[in-house]
Amino acid sequence: MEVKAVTEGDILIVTPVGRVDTSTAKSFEEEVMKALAQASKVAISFSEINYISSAGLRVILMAGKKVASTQGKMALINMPEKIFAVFKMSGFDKILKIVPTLEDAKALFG
Amino acid sequence: MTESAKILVFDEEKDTQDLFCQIFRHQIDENIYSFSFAFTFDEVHKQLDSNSFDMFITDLHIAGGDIVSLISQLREKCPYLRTIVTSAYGDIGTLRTVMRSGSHDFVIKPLDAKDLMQTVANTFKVVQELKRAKRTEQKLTAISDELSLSAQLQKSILPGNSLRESDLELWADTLPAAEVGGDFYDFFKLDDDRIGVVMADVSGKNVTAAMFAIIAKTLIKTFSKVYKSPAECFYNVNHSLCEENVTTRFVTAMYGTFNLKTLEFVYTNAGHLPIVSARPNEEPKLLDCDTGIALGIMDGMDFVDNVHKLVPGELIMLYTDGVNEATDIHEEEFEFDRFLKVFKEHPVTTPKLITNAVIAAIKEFTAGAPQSDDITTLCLKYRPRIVQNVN
Repeated sequence: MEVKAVTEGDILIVTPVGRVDTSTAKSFEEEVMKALAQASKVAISFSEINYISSAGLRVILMAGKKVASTQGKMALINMPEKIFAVFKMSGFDKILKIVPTLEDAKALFG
Repeated sequence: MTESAKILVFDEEKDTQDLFCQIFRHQIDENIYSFSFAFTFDEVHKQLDSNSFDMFITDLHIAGGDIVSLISQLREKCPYLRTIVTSAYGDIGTLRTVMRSGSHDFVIKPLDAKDLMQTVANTFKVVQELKRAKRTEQKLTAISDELSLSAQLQKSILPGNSLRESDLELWADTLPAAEVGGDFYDFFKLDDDRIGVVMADVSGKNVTAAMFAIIAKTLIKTFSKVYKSPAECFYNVNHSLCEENVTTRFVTAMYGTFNLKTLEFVYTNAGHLPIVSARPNEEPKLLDCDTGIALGIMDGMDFVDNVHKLVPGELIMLYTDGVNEATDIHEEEFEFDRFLKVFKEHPVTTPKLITNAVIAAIKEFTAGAPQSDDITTLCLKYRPRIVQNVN
């Protein structure tokens, strides 16, 4: 699947596009992991995601663990209400940093 | 990747060997073709028995045997081998005989180097194509073997479909997707008064998900006997799963205990979907509850016991996202409105009937679209006998 990655200052903004389900999760994982190797401050934008399944949540979780293991920082931004509901329902909002915008992520990263 | 072709040439004339070695000297040097030669039926059978060839180039008329029936036999024995027939006779009758035998191509004698090279090259392309198809087929077989193994694993851990205990009726079912997911349910008697029920969905698919499901299911059942509180049970299941979990797999799950005396359904939620409650003469709804994080992600997370007291005739359903996220051909989801509508349309029902109605509604909605995830449901109905008589 398509995953856009742009850098703003020292923050890498990763924007997956479309549906993250079982059939796209594998390539989503590869693209995200590739992007994570480039920066220690990462914002994943959900502005162009219309569906995420548990397979997709797992990739986000792995990304979070990978960033944490390298003392990096990760925030999830621009999350539509429907996607946020999925994170909330699975309890993921308790362990992942979900903030409204990139500015909030910048403030969080310090 | 360039592959070489193993070619067996069968001809009574001994100078055939020199001729082929001359015509194909470059391909032989570059290991594109490797030739073997046979000059009698004895030799050809020996060669065919001891080697596997990609191509067989044979004269149509050789003393001591029937080439046409040999070619037919080879078609059955070696489905990936292709035959080229050579003959000094190019008449229609001969050509028809050659075609009927199932040989791939025909070259007229005396052999023209260019024609022969072209024919062999074309046939080689076909052989390579066949080999590719064969490898794909083998891969697919391996995958479908794995799929059927995970389907069997998944099925083997389920306790059956139904339970009837005094005034409680229970029905659970799962409709596995083609690519088996990690859904499972469980129900068991905890003591004289209490029944335990579990609904869970492991992230990911196939064998690894099925293995994780078995571990999770075993842990939940084991800890359910130790801890009376579902939340405490999950705290410990989560701890055990986090200790072992190196694959970042997780499981969303709900575990509840129904007390037949107090009618209290005490349940804890680890990132799973809200329960449907359908009470007589009330709108069916999703129960709000305190949600903990899915199991296997982070150790030490807290879970909460939620209490829902059932009323006579009430029906509750636990399910997985295969229900509300069932998708039609326009990628529209079944969603909760359609799900709850099924309960509304069936005010008087049994766990089994409402389960079937839900599945029928999903099938009608998704009509034609492939089922992408397991659809799993577990339904409880509390129906005291006295109410049953009134109805």
